[in-house]
Amino acid sequence: MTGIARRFVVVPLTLVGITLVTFALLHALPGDAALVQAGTSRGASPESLAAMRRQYGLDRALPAQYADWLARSARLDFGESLVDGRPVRGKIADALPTTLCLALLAAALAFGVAVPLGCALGFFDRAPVVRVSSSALYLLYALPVAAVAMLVLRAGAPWGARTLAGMLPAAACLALAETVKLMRYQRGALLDALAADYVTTARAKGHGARGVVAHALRNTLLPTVTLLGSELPALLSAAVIVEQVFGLHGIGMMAFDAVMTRDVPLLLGITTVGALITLVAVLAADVAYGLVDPRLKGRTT
Amino acid sequence: MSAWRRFASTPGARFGLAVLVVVVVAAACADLMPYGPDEQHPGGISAVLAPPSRAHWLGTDDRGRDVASRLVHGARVAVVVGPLAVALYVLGGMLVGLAAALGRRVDFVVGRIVDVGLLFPTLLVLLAIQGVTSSTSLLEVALAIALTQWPYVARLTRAEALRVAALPHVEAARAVGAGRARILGVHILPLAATPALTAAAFGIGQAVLFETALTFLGFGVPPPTASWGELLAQAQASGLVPWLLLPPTIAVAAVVLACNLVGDGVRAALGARAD
Repeated sequence: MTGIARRFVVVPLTLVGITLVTFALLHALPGDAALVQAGTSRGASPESLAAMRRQYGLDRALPAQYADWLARSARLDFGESLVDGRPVRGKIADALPTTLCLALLAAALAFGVAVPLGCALGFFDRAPVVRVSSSALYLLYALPVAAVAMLVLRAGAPWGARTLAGMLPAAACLALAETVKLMRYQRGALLDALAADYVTTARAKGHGARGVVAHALRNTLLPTVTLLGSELPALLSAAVIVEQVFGLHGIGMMAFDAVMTRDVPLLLGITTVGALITLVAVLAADVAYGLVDPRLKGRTT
Repeated sequence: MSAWRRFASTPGARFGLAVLVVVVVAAACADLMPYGPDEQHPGGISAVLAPPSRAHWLGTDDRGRDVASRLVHGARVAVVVGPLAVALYVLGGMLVGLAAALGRRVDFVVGRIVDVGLLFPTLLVLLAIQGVTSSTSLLEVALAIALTQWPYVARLTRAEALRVAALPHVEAARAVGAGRARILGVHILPLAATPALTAAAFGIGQAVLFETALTFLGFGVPPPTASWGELLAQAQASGLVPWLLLPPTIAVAAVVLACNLVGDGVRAALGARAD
């Protein structure tokens, strides 16, 4: 099997693995969905609890419950939220655009800033200014997201924004750590490329600084794109904090609330959709990489 | 060059180490602060959220507690949780990653487990731990961080273990009849551990960031324990007053920066290639 074909087998396997662990974990917790529901109307009788368990299918064996859930969620039917009874699919569909906008905006910002700056840092590696700014970047990387977000909010960024432009400050906070990471990576990759034989050849043929960087850049861009793809889980989990501070109603906040209220169907749905998005992103990055860089054909990562 | 000389000649490594020593000493001597971490100022409403003054260098929080004292006491949480979490997940991740060198089938299984681990949502891990133990102590927070971070170490160690397993000295060991355990432990582990150990140095800083984020969200160290994440949460709850917002930010940034600088030094000391 080539690397890509192997991936297509592995992705569904991973997805099943994640949902299985999540399912087992959520059902191993003390108390179940019936108790959570009954918690709002105190003094539920054992009979009504049993009726509720029958209604949700909670009285059946766990493997049967999982098989049932898997069969339904394969058709994207994740059941209803325990808190408000709305379909989980609808709730996720409502919140997903906010988080996706936030994450994609952050990714675009990170990439757009990191590549040119990283190249500049690599190209002018010896300049004292570069040495100082490298240290400054290290400091930015060390700041907690929550603190950055609150500082930006204090500086006058809008709270609870619904437009793309309004979400820009939040996306910038989300992008900060990733930008520094990508920039350091891009700088290292460019330094490696500049030392490679083909760049020496380009220099020998009389290319100026622009031509040399263009030669080196082409081979360093793709790994950076792939790195961004694999950073998606980190972006999505940091989104919880940014959404919380900036009052955005995205998937992160929904997961946070679902954890607080023990909304098992919603949590399962969010976990599955989140894992699916990440897997597709990583897969897409791998496929693109393999198409453009023929050296990687048949190699597994 | 000796390992220490390589470490010390890395820019910033000694500065980072000095910062970490200061933080550890501060955490150890936190009881010397003029106020206890939970001591409320007996001034009633006027002592609540008071700006910095001579009596309270960094002001007071929304319960009239001294922010400077809580900041120094918060260092204890960072000093315990950071290294504890890293020790847990570096050990676990290294063992799982090393197992990949046992054969192709084991490697495939390990790879899938790591895939699942990498995508597993942090919040769920925390919920599960809280549900099972029905409490959050420093150990549980460290465990939660470890449970979400071990796959990265496992992935690093796996790649390195597979590389080392193909080296001639491993083949030689196999040829003279060394057992599997001996090959793994004596011939592969020492060489394959380098990336994991480098990751550990950086990891302490990341674990402190993680703890701050968890506690900020209300999933980490429970109140009234003083911690940097809790100070940030208070800053949010009390209208972003600067004396609650800036001190924990600077403290976290200093520790994380120091860990990253020390990490650079450790990488140089272990002779690994910088990326």
